[in-house]
Amino acid sequence: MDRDLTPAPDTGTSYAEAAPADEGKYVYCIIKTPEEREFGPIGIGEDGNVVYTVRFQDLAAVVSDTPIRIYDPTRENVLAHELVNEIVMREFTVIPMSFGTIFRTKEDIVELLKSTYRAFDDVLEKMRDKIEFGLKVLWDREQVIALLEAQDEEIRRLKEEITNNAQSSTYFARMQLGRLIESALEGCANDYVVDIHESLKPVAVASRSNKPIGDRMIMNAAYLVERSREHDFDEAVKALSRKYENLLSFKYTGPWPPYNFVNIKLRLERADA
Amino acid sequence: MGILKHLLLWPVTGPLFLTEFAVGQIEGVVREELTDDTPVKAELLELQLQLELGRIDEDEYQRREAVLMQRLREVREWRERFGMGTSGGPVRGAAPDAGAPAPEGPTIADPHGATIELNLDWE
Repeated sequence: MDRDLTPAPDTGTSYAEAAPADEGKYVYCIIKTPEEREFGPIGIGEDGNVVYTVRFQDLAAVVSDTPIRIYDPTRENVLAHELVNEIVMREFTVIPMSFGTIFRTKEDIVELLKSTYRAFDDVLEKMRDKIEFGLKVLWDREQVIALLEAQDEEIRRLKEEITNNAQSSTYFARMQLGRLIESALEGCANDYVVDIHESLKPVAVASRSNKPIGDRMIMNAAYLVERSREHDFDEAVKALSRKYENLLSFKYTGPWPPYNFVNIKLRLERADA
Repeated sequence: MGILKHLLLWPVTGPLFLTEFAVGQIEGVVREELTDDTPVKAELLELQLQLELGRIDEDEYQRREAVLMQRLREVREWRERFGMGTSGGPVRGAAPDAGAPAPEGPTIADPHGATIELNLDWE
């Protein structure tokens, strides 16, 4: 491929400048549709390209034209990717593609759909009418510690001892208290997570635990839920957030396509190869 | 070079052997650091959480995100330089490598296309 030496203004990558505009197709998800569809000018990138379908039989990839480039996972780009999936999933069951997936040509996409037809068909059937919700749980450490002090006999006793003998209270007693609180906190977090998990199990199909982000988060999970049970799941989350009011805050998001439950693995190719 | 020769010629070849060995080790460590994007991605998630929780405003987010994106690009460049795979960018609808390790968990695979993993467990 010949390199155009005019520097591209926006990206920090070398690929955008090498490719003529609209050379590739950005793929958002795979759906089942008997006819061509258009979803409006909501494609990723600065130009707001039209989102449309590339079909093979009754399967379709939802795509928009794009230069061959690497999209940085900025919030803006990720939201653009998610917005398309969100709009498509209002009408269809979708198998989401990973962020940043680009095919060179329409023919390549048709080839993928053709060669993986049965697997896509099967997964779409299994995912039919199922949606994902995200649940992040953060705690207020100070509140939980206050609760522990009120409830735990030994912690209270140690603490009193330290306050009463401010002068003579030993380094050792303080260390012991610190350790006691740490382990009680850990136990607490675990109990909360187990309780939340068990409460949601009856209203969900599957779940996945991701690594908590930062030091206040005790749980970062995704739940797969039948569309028909969305309301039940909602209610269960609300009940939990009432139950743990003041102690835990729930960050509840969705519905999402099943990002955490389906993983399409594609072979990657270098752009300049 | 065989071990015996190394032992016999240790006064001559030994120091060189050790140096080569050490350089190789350091190279491995440095390479690993240069090509690992997990710390940057973790920082990005944390930054997004800060924004969502209202701890930082949009401006600060943008500023710090730009720094992280620059670091991600650097990692990507190193990965390319070392001939390692990078995520994102163009793919083709060809069969996955025959020698690729089998994915974990339940899989629905087609030998002529992509691999799709389904994960419907309770974790």
